[in-house]
Amino acid sequence: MVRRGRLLLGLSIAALGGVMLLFGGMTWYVWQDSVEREEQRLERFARALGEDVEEAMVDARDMLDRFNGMDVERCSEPHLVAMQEAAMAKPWIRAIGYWQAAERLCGVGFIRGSELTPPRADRIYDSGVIAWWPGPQTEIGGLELFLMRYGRHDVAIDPRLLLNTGADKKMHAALWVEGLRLAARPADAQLPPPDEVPAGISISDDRERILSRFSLGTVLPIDIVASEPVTYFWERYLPTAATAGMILLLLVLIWLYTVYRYTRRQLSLGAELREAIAEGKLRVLYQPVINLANGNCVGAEALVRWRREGGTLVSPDIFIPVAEKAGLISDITRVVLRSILRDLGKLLQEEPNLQVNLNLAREDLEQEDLIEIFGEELANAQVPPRSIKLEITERALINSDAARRQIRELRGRGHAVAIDDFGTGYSSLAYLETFEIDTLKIDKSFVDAIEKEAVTSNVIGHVIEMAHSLELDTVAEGIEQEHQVEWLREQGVTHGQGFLYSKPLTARRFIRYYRREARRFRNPEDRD
Amino acid sequence: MLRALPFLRRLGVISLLLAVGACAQLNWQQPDRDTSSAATRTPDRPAGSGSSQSAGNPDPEFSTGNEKLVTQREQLRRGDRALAPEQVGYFMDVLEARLRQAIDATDIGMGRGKERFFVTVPGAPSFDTGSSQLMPGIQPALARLAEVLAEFDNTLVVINGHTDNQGDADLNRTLSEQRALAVAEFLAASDVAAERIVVIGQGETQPAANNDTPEGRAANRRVEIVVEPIVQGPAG
Repeated sequence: MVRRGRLLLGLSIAALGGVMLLFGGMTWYVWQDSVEREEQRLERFARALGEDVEEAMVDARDMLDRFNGMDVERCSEPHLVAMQEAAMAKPWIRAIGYWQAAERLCGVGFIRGSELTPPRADRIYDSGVIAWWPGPQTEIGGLELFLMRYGRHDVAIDPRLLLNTGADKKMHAALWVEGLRLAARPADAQLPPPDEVPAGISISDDRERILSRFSLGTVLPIDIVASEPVTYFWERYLPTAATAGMILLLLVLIWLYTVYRYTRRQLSLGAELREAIAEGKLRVLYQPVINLANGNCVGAEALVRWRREGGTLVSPDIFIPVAEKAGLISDITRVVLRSILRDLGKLLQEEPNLQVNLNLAREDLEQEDLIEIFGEELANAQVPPRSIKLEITERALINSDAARRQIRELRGRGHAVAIDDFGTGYSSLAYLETFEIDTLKIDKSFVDAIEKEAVTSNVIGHVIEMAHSLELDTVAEGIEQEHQVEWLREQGVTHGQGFLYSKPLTARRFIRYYRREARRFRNPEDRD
Repeated sequence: MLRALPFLRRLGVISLLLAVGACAQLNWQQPDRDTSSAATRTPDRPAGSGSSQSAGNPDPEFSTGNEKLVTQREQLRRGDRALAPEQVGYFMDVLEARLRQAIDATDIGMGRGKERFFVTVPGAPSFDTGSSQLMPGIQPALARLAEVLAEFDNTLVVINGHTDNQGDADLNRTLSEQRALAVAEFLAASDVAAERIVVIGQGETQPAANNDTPEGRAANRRVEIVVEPIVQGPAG
């Protein structure tokens, strides 16, 4: 139960961490994305206004240029009609005039005579264009006009009409030329001057508006400061955030469900395994071990199999870790031991040279009463200890004085000891010497590496050398090809097992196999 | 001397006014706004500068010399062309724009002082050495300038000829006046009323730059046109 609690706690922390990570990441991303979009949206708004203003200015200048070059009698009917038409074409043009020096000779619009002669121009260009920004000096009838003169014509522009902010009255904008505020929409819009507005978007001092600045310097130094209510941003951000939230929630649910499934599987597998052990549902198969020199069967490795309810076969790779977590390893070992003794007890009594290999886990070696249990079971079955060879994985040996002691005692009783999966762990020769062992089992992965022509890995050579120097028997696992046998034989490997000889067999079939092989060995002429 | 100028005869009537040794102290203020080259400034003029002389010419006449300038200005101020004082600002701005447009991308430079403009026609591309005949290259720019001056007829156009300090001072004065006259005639031929024009040969007396260097001397060889609005003056 303690294990189970720890497992649950760990999983909960993992689940919570995952959820928080997801939430954080998603929130950050959506926020960044929304701010960027808002920046682009408001910038487009300001840019469009700025470009409209510039276009109006360029248009006005071009119009004046056209009138200056017009080939008609000045102040004649056609001249006046042309001016009238131009003034009607653009809503912001309030008047067009024709001048001689400081005297307005004729014109159209609501300016009469030479009434608009501001005393000081704001800008005089080398091109001959003069501009007077709207101000008290350009005021006529309460309206401050933007005045431009080029050659002998001038045009008066209503700056308010240059800013078309559209139907949305909450979108505000102001036009600045050379740091001078020319117009705003609405006229009383509270907007800071452009030099107080940073590039990109910013928040107004009262935290109620989002500001954006657009500057243009091609024809005139124009600045547009535009604003929108902060609520617009939230109105756009929240649905996005909500959508993201929904997706997030879904991801969280999937995540939690995955964790839940995994937990359940772990927990239920453990419980189910316990049940299977109690009900004797684990089966033991035997894979023959062959003397490579003469092909004689000298024993077998006992392999445990678990067939679950419904028929699915669970590989030991899966259920051994589950058993470790659930503390069921020694139970399984005992089940296997009993199966060997029950299935093969008689054969082992008849054939004293036959050895059946039993896998021991680290937990087995840590168990104090292991020796007693083994002694008891073997005595009951009247099988000598030397018939049961114990396989211990390399990893189970690490830093274990208890294991070392147990191994010594087991050997004292007469068991042979083999190191399983050798070469996959971290053992060195020096380390291995501290254990009393009889056999090294060479892992299948090294045997697989034996190609027809050569060996792709040097490790197997070292492993074999190591075994020889310690005067240990060697058993190669997973032999599938004849050339592997040849190579192993050349290297002095004594024994092997694998599909080349036989797959794992049921007890009954193993006995039959063994007897047939033994007969053939005794009568060599039966061979092939 | 004036006989040497070929088209002078074609010009109007008017009596010849010759001011010899005019001593009027010209008190032009230094430009307070000078957006063009420094060469456009008119330095303070020392008292007692002389004048050239010419006699018995039946051709149209410009006022010449500093004394005449003062009287001419007074006369114009009382005339029809004079601007009301409140119009001067607008008039100056518009005139500046038109002058700038006329001389844009030419050798002619300009600057603005308080209620006057200084338009500088450099000597080198305008006249051959020692000659007072206008070169063809400068004429299109002068024609544009004349067009503006003709339209803005509420101005007094004072044409000052200047030389460097090389050679005889009297000869320099004569040459400078002849060159100023050449410009005056060109303007008059382009419909700038002769009565608005005053010609002054300043000789080498008013260098705009240091005469010790070739560049300075080149800058000093020039015709400077001072354009000032005619403003209604106090009565008398």
